Amino acid sequence: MKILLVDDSRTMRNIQKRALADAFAGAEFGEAGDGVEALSVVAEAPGGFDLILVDWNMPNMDGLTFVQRLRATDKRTPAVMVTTEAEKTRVMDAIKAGVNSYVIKPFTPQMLIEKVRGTLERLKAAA
Amino acid sequence: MDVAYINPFIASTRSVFETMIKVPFQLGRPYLKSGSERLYKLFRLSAQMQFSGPAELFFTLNVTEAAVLSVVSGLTGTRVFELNSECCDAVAEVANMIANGAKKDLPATGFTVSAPRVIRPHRIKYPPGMPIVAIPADTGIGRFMLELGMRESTEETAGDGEATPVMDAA
Repeated sequence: MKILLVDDSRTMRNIQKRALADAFAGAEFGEAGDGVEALSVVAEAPGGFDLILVDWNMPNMDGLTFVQRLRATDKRTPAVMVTTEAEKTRVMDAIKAGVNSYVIKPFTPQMLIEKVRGTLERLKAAA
Repeated sequence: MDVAYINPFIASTRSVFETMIKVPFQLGRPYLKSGSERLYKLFRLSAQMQFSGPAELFFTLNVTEAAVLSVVSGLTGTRVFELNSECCDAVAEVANMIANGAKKDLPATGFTVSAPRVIRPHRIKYPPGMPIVAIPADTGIGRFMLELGMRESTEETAGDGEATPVMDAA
């Protein structure tokens, strides 16, 4: 499984990587520090990614804009927004942009894993 | 300062520590800082964030070196023995989670929050005359302190909350 982690905090990317590596044996990870870099990583990844975790507030290009740009050509790759933005209007904005699921920071590893698993299973069932 | 503005930061700090850092800590009693109080020799790093909107609010997280190492080790699951750029990044992320977690429970809505600035504690500044409430805390391994400064917004101060993060503490 190939997972892209998009967050301007390397600490947060490492936390997510550790949690998901425990849950998804053999997972490979790509990383990006902002939306611009993430679009580049996605474009250059052979075969694309099976899952993208994306922060909202990042320099250069925020996560919402990244997802909107991603969805212009890729409606398929599951995208989970992992952010401190907790207001209902923000969650709705993210869903409208094409995010499949939402995790609010702070989170335990188990919360993240369950949300990711639930998202993947839901999308698989809908396919 | 209205406790309705202080309590969300206390609750958010507990939430961040309980879910992600998993380092036990004790919070002390909040107190109003005196103008002459200088605690900056005690702390090694500070992360400051500015809230703009219905009121002007400054949130600062000050940490000792021992607390940084303890927090970063808890956060990452890897023992850290010296301050490095990852520690600055981690302190910024902790401050970010505390501040934005508090934002949703503040008594007013419509706040925007700047990105965290991680700097040496002696460089932390507040607008002149702004009352600052300090909340000391101790992890048992190292101490940290939350600070909240607040005043009513004026046209000049109700900005968009944008700030460029400065990582110059390493």
